[in-house]
Amino acid sequence: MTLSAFHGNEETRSTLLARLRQHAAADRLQPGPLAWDADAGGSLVGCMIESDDPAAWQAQTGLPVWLAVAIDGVAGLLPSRADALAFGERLLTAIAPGTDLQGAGSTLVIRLLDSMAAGVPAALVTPELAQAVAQVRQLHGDGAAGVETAPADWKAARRLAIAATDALTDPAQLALAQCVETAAWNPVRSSSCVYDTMRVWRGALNDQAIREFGWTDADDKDMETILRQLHDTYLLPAPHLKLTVFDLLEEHYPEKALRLREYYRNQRESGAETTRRATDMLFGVLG
Amino acid sequence: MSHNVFTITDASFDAEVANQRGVVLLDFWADWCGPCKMLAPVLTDIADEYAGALRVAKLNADQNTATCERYAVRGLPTLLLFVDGVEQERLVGTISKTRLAAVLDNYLEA
Repeated sequence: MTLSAFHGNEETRSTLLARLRQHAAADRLQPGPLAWDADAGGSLVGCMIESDDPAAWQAQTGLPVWLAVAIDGVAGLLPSRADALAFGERLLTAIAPGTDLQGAGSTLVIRLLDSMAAGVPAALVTPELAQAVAQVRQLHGDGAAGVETAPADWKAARRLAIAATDALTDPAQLALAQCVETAAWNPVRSSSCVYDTMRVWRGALNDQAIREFGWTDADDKDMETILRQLHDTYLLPAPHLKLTVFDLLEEHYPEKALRLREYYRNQRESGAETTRRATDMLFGVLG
Repeated sequence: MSHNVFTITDASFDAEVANQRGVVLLDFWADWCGPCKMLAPVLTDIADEYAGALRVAKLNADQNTATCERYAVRGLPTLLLFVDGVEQERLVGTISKTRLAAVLDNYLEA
C-alpha cells in the first residue's frame, strides 16, 4: 500500500501544525503514548489529529502508523512540553508532502541495528547471532525496498533471534541480540516495531553507560543497605524530622553521596544523549 | 488507544476476566508510572495483532485497589495472563513485543 505524506497537500500539514500549536498554547499537550480527550488534550500525535485512533492518523496525514507511535515515544522522553512541541513542529516541517514513508520504518530499524552491531567486535558475535542479525536485516531490507514479506518469515526470524539471545551472557552481544529480536516485526503491520526497537536500543546504550561509569549490582545493594540503615536509625524513631535518607547520606557518607549524585547525573546525561541520537536517526529517514 | 483494548474495573473484573472463557491479558498500570507508559504502545499493538484470539485489558491500579490486592500486585506495570479466568503468567516491568508474543503463543498455539 502506497502512502502520500499529507496526501501531497501542503494545507494538510499546515492544519496539523496549527492544531498542535493551538493545543500546546492551551496547555493541552501532554507528551506520552497516543491519547486524546477533547477537554484535557492529549499526546503530540493526539493534538495533531484530535483523535486517539491510530487509523485516523494514517487517514488524516497520509503517514504510516509506525511513525505516529515513534513520534509519541520520542516526545514522551523529552524534558519539557516546549521541547515536545518543538520536536513536533520540526518533524512535520521535515517531511515533504507526497513522500511515501511506509518503508522508512525498516530503514530506521536497519540503522539502529547497524549502530548496535558496530559496538560488538565481529569476532565475538556467535554464528547464531550473526544469522539472526542477517535474517532480520534482510527482511527489513526487503520492506524498505517495498518488497512484500510473509508473516511466517518474520515469525521464524523472531524464533531464531530469541534462541540466539537466550544462549548469550556477554552484555554487548546481549544488547545486540535483544535489539534484533525486538526488531523482528514488519513495521507496515506492527505499529510498535520501530518504537520498541528504539526503546530497547536506548536501554542498551544507557546500560552500557552505566557499565562504563562503573556502577554495579553490588553498588545497588550497598546503597540500599545504607539507606535502609539510615532510615531505621534516624528517621523511624523521629518521624517529625524534616530530613530524607539522602540528607542523612550526605551527612554520614559524603563520599558515597557524591558518587550517587555523579551516577544519577551520568544516567540523565546518557539518557538525553541517546534520545538525541534516536531523534537524529528518525529525522535521517524522513527526508 | 486501539478499539481492541478494553478497560476493566473492580466492578467489571469478575464478569470480564475471572468468569471469562478464553485468554485475557490484563495490564495493571497507573498514570504516574513511566514504564507503564512505555509499555502502552506494545500492548496496543499486541491487542491488534491478536484480535480475536485474546482480549487485552487495562486496569488502573490506583482506582481499582481491590483487584490489585486480590492478585497481590506489588509493582507496576504488571501483566497477568488469564486462561479461562485462572492466572497462568505474571510479567512485571516492561517487556518487548517479541517476548510478550512468545509467552502468548505458548498458550494460543497449545
